[in-house]
Amino acid sequence: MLAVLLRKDLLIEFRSREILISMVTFGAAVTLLYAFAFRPSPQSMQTFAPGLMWMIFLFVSVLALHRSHSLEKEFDAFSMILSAPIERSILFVSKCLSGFIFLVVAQVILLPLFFLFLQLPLPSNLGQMMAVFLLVDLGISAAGSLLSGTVMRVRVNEMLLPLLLFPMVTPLLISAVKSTAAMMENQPFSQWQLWFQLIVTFVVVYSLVGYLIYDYVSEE
Amino acid sequence: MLFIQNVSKQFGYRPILRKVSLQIRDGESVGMAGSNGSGKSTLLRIVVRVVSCDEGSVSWNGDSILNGGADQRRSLLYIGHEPGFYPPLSAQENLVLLTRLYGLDVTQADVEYNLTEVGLDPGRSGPIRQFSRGMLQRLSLAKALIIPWELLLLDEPTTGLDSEGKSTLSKLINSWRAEGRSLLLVSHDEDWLTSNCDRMVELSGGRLQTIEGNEARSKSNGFAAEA
Amino acid sequence: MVGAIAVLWITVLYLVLSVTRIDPEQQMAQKIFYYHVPSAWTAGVAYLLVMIAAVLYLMKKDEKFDHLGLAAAELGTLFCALVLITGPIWAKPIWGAPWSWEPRLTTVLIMFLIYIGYFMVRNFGDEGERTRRISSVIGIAAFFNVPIIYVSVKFWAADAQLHPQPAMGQQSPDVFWTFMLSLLVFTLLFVHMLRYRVHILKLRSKVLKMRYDV
Repeated sequence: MLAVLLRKDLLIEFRSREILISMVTFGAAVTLLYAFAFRPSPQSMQTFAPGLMWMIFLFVSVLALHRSHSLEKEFDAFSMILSAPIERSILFVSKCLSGFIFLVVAQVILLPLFFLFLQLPLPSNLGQMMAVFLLVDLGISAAGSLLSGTVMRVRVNEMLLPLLLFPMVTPLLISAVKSTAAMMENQPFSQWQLWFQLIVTFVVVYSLVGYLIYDYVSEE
Repeated sequence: MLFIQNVSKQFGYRPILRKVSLQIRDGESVGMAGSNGSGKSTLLRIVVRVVSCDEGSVSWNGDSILNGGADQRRSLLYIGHEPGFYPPLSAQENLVLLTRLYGLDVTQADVEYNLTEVGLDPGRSGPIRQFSRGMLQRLSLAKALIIPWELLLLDEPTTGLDSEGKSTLSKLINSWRAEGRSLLLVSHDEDWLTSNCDRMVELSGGRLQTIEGNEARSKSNGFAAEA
Repeated sequence: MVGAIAVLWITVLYLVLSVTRIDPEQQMAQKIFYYHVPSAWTAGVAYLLVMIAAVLYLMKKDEKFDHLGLAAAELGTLFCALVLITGPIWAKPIWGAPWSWEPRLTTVLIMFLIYIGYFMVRNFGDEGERTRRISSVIGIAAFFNVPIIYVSVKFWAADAQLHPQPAMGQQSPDVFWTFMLSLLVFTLLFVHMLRYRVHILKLRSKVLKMRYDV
């Protein structure tokens, strides 16, 4: 069932590519703005880069998260899903995973641009960086999908979603930035272990909370 | 058997449904009439848990729908007056999605057959965003053909249908009634409801009342035909 | 009740100004601690209450839990604001700058922002069961974040670990008892305001319902 729902979200996006194009374009535009707005020395740029990077990903994720629920409202499509014999918690998992996939795809395109335009050196352990990034993306998607579903039928929800999401993901953002900075300086894992643990905690907490209470927000 | 018991719903502080109770026995087709905004659609949506209710219970064959798991909804099919499809996907894709949501395995041929049955061109593969209102309504009817339901909840099914569409609809409803399946039809068109249901109820002021005289009316038609 | 609180409040003020000892380093500025810490404590209790009320509302669907949750959220945010105001007032003479990214203060700021979001949702949502439901969800989601926020902020700005850590057990009696009294006053004030607010919300709900009881 999860595969059916996930496939549906991905197929819809594949048809129109609205989410991905807007994410990548916006992300690239902001990266360019950073490059023009700040022209620090390479060392300073390295200090700021992790923060700038995750801010872009956060802004860009809002586009995907908002769209994931707003497209359900067109033609009352959501009623097809809600009236069908599907557990609502599975519905949450599918939204979380599809948001995660969109974010990862956008990152795959944006990260090389980011490193290129801001002239940053690559960390030595790329695999480690990818693993951490995937986890953070999952965290953003879990909290974001829950909030997106929550405000889906409220007025002005394009504004409410970032308003709610940004304070809530602050600990995740802090941990992501600290981990990324540590990895880019090639620090050993023990040095930034705490931040990694915080990321994992955030992912677990919000995945669970979403899984348990999504049912209460999905009905009209 | 569907058992709706004391269902109440408020929008804000405005009551839409006040302790509404309704029973639909197996094989019965019930028509619900009422003016616009009387809460008929809301009641239907509450039964399938698209809308939450403030109080009350709904059970199907003894199992609670509102408090139970998703499986209780397997025998029910809801067709609303909004299309209930994904605009970027094609007609076939939407129908296949629906069948998978109900855990069914259908072939391409089944889908195409059902599309033809409702008068749509099975070869058309564009997104349903391009469909007219009438075509979307026909596609909604295709849902009822492809899913093996025991109770069908139909909301304003005649909307947007031309006369050919309406006669297809009537044929389908008659065949379902003959097969002994249960129906809950909602419409503001009382005449159409009368000719398609065993029993009529009316929702007004948030309360449900039975409409007498439905049997009398069909009997008199019979006498008129005989005479 | 109000009278009792007023009396206690004046007592605390008197105690703070005349009886308690003056801290040799911080002088009068330290006295803000009698207000700053109880505010934080009250805000924490309030937010915990929001979460409990939210869970109860989702389980029982009874409007009174939502009234409790909303009132607690309002008061929690009020006391948060007090913490955010008294903190910088203290920090300016002591640390030089009114604001620094000290973990507890930052956590309070983040919670304050989350609850601004909560109020915006209540504002933009229509009056009714759905808005109450989604507010409850936000209240629950927000609360589970608190420990994570605190830990992350604590280690994020390791240089801003300047928040005084008064060991309450080791304080002299005048400080200790004045503080406890202040804590009591704040708690009583909170409970009183909560009951009053819940009462108003109940009345409001009654009036709105009457409009439709035709």
